[in-house]
Parts: sequence; structure tokens; C-alpha cells
Amino acid sequence: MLIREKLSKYISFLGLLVLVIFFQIVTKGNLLTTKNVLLILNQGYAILIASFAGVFVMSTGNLDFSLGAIAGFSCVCATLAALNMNPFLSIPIALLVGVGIGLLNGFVQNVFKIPSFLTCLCTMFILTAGTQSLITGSSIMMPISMMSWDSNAVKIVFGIGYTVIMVVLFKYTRIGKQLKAIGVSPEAARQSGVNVPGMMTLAYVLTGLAGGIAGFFLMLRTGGAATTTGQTVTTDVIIAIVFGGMSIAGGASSKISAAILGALTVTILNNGMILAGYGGDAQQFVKGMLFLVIVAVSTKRGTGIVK
Amino acid sequence: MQVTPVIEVKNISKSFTSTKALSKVELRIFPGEVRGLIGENGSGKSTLSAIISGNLKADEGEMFMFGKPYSPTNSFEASEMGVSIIVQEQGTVETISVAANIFAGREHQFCHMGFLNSKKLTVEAQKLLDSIGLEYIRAEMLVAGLSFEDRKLVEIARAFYRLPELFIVDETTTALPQRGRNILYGLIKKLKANGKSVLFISHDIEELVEVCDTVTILRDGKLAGSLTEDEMDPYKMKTLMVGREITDNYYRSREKTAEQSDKIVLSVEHVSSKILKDISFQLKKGEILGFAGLSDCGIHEIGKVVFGLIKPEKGKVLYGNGIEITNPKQAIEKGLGFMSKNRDRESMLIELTIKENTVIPSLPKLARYGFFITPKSEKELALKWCGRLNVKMKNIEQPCSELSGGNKQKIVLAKWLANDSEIFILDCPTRGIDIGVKEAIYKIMGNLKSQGKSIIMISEELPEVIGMSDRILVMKDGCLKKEFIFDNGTSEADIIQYMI
Repeated sequence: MLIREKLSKYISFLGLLVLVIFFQIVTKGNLLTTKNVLLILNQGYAILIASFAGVFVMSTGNLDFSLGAIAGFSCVCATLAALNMNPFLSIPIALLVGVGIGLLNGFVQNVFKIPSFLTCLCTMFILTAGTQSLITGSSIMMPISMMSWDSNAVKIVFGIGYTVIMVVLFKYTRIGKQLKAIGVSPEAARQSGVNVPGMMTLAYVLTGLAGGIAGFFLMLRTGGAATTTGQTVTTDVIIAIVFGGMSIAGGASSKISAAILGALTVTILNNGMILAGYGGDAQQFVKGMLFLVIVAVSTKRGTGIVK
Repeated sequence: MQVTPVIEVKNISKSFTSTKALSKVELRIFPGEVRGLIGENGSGKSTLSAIISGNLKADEGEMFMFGKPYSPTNSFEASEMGVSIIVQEQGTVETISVAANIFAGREHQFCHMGFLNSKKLTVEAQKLLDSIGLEYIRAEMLVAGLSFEDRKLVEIARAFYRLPELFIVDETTTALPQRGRNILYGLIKKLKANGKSVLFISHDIEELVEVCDTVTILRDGKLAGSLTEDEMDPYKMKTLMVGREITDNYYRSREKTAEQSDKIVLSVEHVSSKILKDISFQLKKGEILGFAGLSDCGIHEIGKVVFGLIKPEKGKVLYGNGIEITNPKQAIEKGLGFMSKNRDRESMLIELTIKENTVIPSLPKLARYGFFITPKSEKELALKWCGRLNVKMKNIEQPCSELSGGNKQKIVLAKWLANDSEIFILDCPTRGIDIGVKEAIYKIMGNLKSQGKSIIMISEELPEVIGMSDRILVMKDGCLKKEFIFDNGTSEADIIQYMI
């Protein structure tokens, strides 16, 4: 029993290590070149940003299916703002759009008592429609002058600051602790003084905000917005957090480190498979299978409840 | 010649995670015998009856029925073999008819070519109800339309469709009014006359003496003794149950009752809800106010209304200074703490650690600059209160799911103490915990009182309500029926007549 517990504590880390070694061999050393490591960090940036917020929602036992659509939609809004008004407006626009949608997600499920996953699914469809109608053709470009904004230094500084804030919010304030309590039992949390609707809304505002930030950085990296922007973010985030060692049911297993470890794992998996020459369909297949295996291994036997 | 027992239980043991519920218990019940089973809460009576009736599986030991190995895998299988049980908790399905409840699992007898003949089902059910004196219950009615007492009687009827070889009554009589009890006693006599046996579990010693031929006493999961009809004596039974001479200061000592002041800390004004009807009462500083009544009479609802969990349809709950309590978060800020009857699901975050559970209501107070919560402050708070309440644990990082019932209960008290609560609403504070911890909980309650804290104690166990309370409010069908101010003369019988 003890060995199992210890193993499950480090299994995410071991998994990442195995993955790195595997792709390092398969790609004949091309994985860990300076150039590719920088590329991995760039590719994984949006996933990392979104995963941190994803942990807050998942710790309550819920998922934000609209996360990727929020990233896509705020990416479009930011690009349009930069094109039509002022490049500097793209930042507040992206953030406000994200936070606004998060508030709406929280409001709708609390006021109309709609299960959160349904609310988020609907939000996803609506936002996808919005994104597609705002883009004429398949993509729009941001102003050329903004190309210089996509700097590694900015990303690293912001990334470190963001990470510190998220870790503090989750581990050293009541936000993370109360969300985790909701994941164990909403009723017990309520009886312990947790404002359950309020905290749930806050969690969705966080994913909204993270979606907005991710959307902004996606714009910088890809030079604009496309109808497909952000499409894979939702699934990548869910897979990342579970890879990172957290359970879909949230609660006791919740930890903020799952975001870092998981985002890194998913990005290396995506990058490694491209380097190794797998096609898009094979990539989806492998991700799906791996996800299934991890959920199966981390599920408590006999109860059928994912813990 | 030796008679073969109906049921023979040999060396049965059963553990739940950390507590040993039964250890090497032996029991033999003979045909035509009415056997009583008594013991304190947590002594293992219900576990034993659940094992015999197929609801639980023993860890060790064997059972025999008429000398043949008997090991039912579920209660339905057991009832097919002739062992029927009715339990404390509700065992009927609300949304289907009385008849469908009675024949649940036996519908195939009324099927013709795959179609259920529901008319025949209803007729048969009515015949059965009539035969045991329950003519007034109509078989076609939905169970949802019946009172709690009548639902219990439907369950009894179900058990009597085929005369069971062994009929187990698990503390059912407390839920029944006198008429229902008489029906049950009549059925027990009928079984006895037919050479069938009964295992009768009750808290009520007088009732056991009246009904049973022999009584077996369990204590802490072990056999404490058996008494035949001539040996049955309430005092002897109590002594065997507790394992030592009974003293009167089992509950709190009454000498220091002077601290109660006249300051009102909480008042409930004309509260009505689905169950409650125009309830008004006041709680004083340093008072232990007991609520007594049958389990569905509204006593449990009172606790939830006071704590802001249920919004009353009419009336309000006012904190001492006149502020209305409307939700649990605000109630906690005002210094209330609530221990739910359903502890594991409502009062505890069962998967989380002792530390996390102890500090959760206090998080707003622990936050520095209204924001940062240091691991050190959490640890200190948890250690302080778990230490004061003598929680038996490995360390504060242990998940609460690994603790025994009594220790879980202490954690719930610790979490409210850690938040400096002034008013404790305790719903069944000693439910399902063993006698040693029970005494510890009573002691804590006594200490709280002497520190000027107020307690609302809701309990289905009359002895503890009488033993602990300064004042007792008795409820029936959602109404307040009677107020007793403590004096040494209040007896269970006095209270019961207002409950039923």
C-alpha cells in the first residue's frame, strides 16, 4: 500500500522522464536541442497558462470545456482591436473578454442551476460560432508592428510572475483550499462556511482570465487569429492536468504542480510526435489512448468513481 | 435430545477500516425463541443483525441454519431462506405502491407471459395487510403518501408474506406508535406459536424484558453475557452493557449548573417550513438546550434552520444582537457551529486530512492581510485543538476517512472550537460512536457549557437528552409540544408521552 502511494506521488514525474527518454531516442537526439527546447516552451506556453487555471476548476470536480473557445475568441477580439483601434488595446480586450465569459459561465450555472459542464459546452459552441463569424476567410493577421512583441524575455518574466501568483492562490489562500473542499463535497463545504456559488464563479473567472491571456499569447505566436485557434487547448489542458497527477474528480488529489508537470508532458508529447513524424490522426490516437490508460490506473477500483 | 438451532453464529468477526465492530461472537437461536439483543451504540448489535440478514459479510466465522452452512450474499437471498429483517432506517421505496413494495423482488409470481398482473398483486397485498391488522393501509396507495410509522408497518407486512424462520427487528419499535407496537408484538406471538424465532434488538430495556425469552448483551463487539427470563433484571442488563457498575455522573455533573446566565444568544421566532410549524424558542448563554422527538418530527430540521441551511418559509432566526441568520457562511461568522447527523457527508471533508478539516471554517480568520494563509498557522491551529480533544491519530496529515467514528466526531467539534464558536448545534453528537468516546463527548459538552458556550443538542436517545440538557423541548409532527426544565425527576416515560 505504501509503495503504491509513494509510486503514485512520483508517477507523473517518472512518466515525463520516460517520455523524454523515449522521444530523445526515437528522434535520434533531436528532442533536446536548444532550438527545440525553446520551441517546446513556446508551444506549451498557452497550455501552461490555461492549465494553471484549469486546476482550480478541476479541483472542484468540474471541467471548463469552454477554455479553448475562450482562448480562440479572445484571440480574435484582441487581433481585431489591434487592427482597428490600437495595438495596446489588444491586451485589455483579451483579458476583459476572458473574464466576462468566465463571469457569464458562473452566473448562468448558478442562477439557472444548469450543470456546469453543460453550461460550458454551450458557451463553447456559441464562442466558436462567434469566432468564425468575426473572421472573414480562415484567418486574420495582427499588425506587423506587433511582431516584435513576441519576445522570449517577456514570456519568461510574465510566465514566472503568473506561476508564482497561481501557486500562491492555490496553496496559500482560501481560494484553493475552499475549491478543493467543494471537490470533496459541495454540501460539506457549504456547511463549513464556503460560499459555493461564489467560489465556483471565481474558478470560472480564473479560467476565463487564463483563456484570455492564452488567447493573447496565441495571437503573438501565430501572428493573428484563425478559426482553429485554441481548438486543442481544452483537451490538452484536461489531459495535462490528469497527466500531472490530479484526478478528474478533484478533491483530495488536487495539486497545483499538476499544471506545470502536465503541461510540460503534453507539449513534449505533441512536439515529440511531430518530430518523430507521426501524422495528425496518429497523434490524436496516441493522446486518446494514453489518457484512457492514466484515468484507468488512477481510478479507485470497485466504486466506478474516478478519484 | 438436543434441538437444532434455527441460526447458529460461530466465531463471527467484522472490522470496519480501523474499528473492530464484532470479535468472535457466538449466538444460537432456537425454534420458537424470542431472543433479545441489547448493547450500547457501537456495541455491534446492528452489525451482527446485518450479517445474519445478509446485508454485510463477516470477516471471519461461520453461520448455520438448522445445522446447515448458511451464508447469504444479500438480504433478498436471506429472506428467501427464511431470514427477514426490518431496520431502523427507512426500507421502502417512496415512488411505488404499497403492493409493489411488499412484493419487490417477487414480481415474477404475478407475471403471466412476461406481463405483470398488477391487479392480482394488489389483491394479494391487501389480503396480507388485512391478515396482520393493517386494514387501514390500502395496497394501491403510493408509499410516499404514508406516514413514517405506516411505512415501517408496510415493511413488516413484507417480511410476513411468508412466515420467516427468523424475524429480526432492528430497533424498529422506537419509530412506532403504541398501535404499531401492539401489531408487532402480536405478530411476534404468532411467530412464536408457529415455532418460528425472533431476534429483537432494542434500546428499551423494559420492552425487552416484556417481549423476550432470553436476552444477549453485546459490549464493544464482544459477547458480554446472556440472561434467561428469570435472570432478566434491568440493573443487571445495564451493568453488563456498560461493563462496570453504573454511576450517575456518566453524563455531566450537575453541581456546577450555576453558570447559566439570562443573556439570550439566539432566538427563533415563529419559524415554519415544510415540516416545522410555528416554532419559537430562545437559547441562553451557557445553556444546553435539548431537543427530543421521533426522527422525522422536525428536530433535525430545527438544527438546519438555525444554521441557515434551510430557509424557513415563515419566521426568522435571530442572533443575540438581533441580526437575522440567513446562510451558513454568515452563521459561522457569527460564531455558530453545526454538527450534522449525517457527519461523514455533511460535516466532514472525509477525503481530506485532519488538518484541512480542522481549519476550514477558520480560514478567513487565519488570512493575514485578509489573504495569505501560512502553512504554519494552519498546523498550529489544528495541533492545538486536536490535542485538546485528544484525537487519536498518527498525525494531522492523516485523512479523516481513516479515523473511527468517535474521533471523526471530535474533529468536527475541534473545527468549531478552532473558530471560537459560541453556539454549538449538535445533531446526534454520539450517533454510532463507542461508549468511551461518548463519555468524552459529554465531558467536552460540559466544559463548553462551563466556559459560557451554548449548545443545542438534538438527539434521538432520550437518556442523553435527559442526562445533558438544562432544558428539553419535545417535538411531535413539526410542533413544539412540551418544555421540561431539568430536575432530577424527569424520566423517559414523561417525555415519550409527548413524542408519540
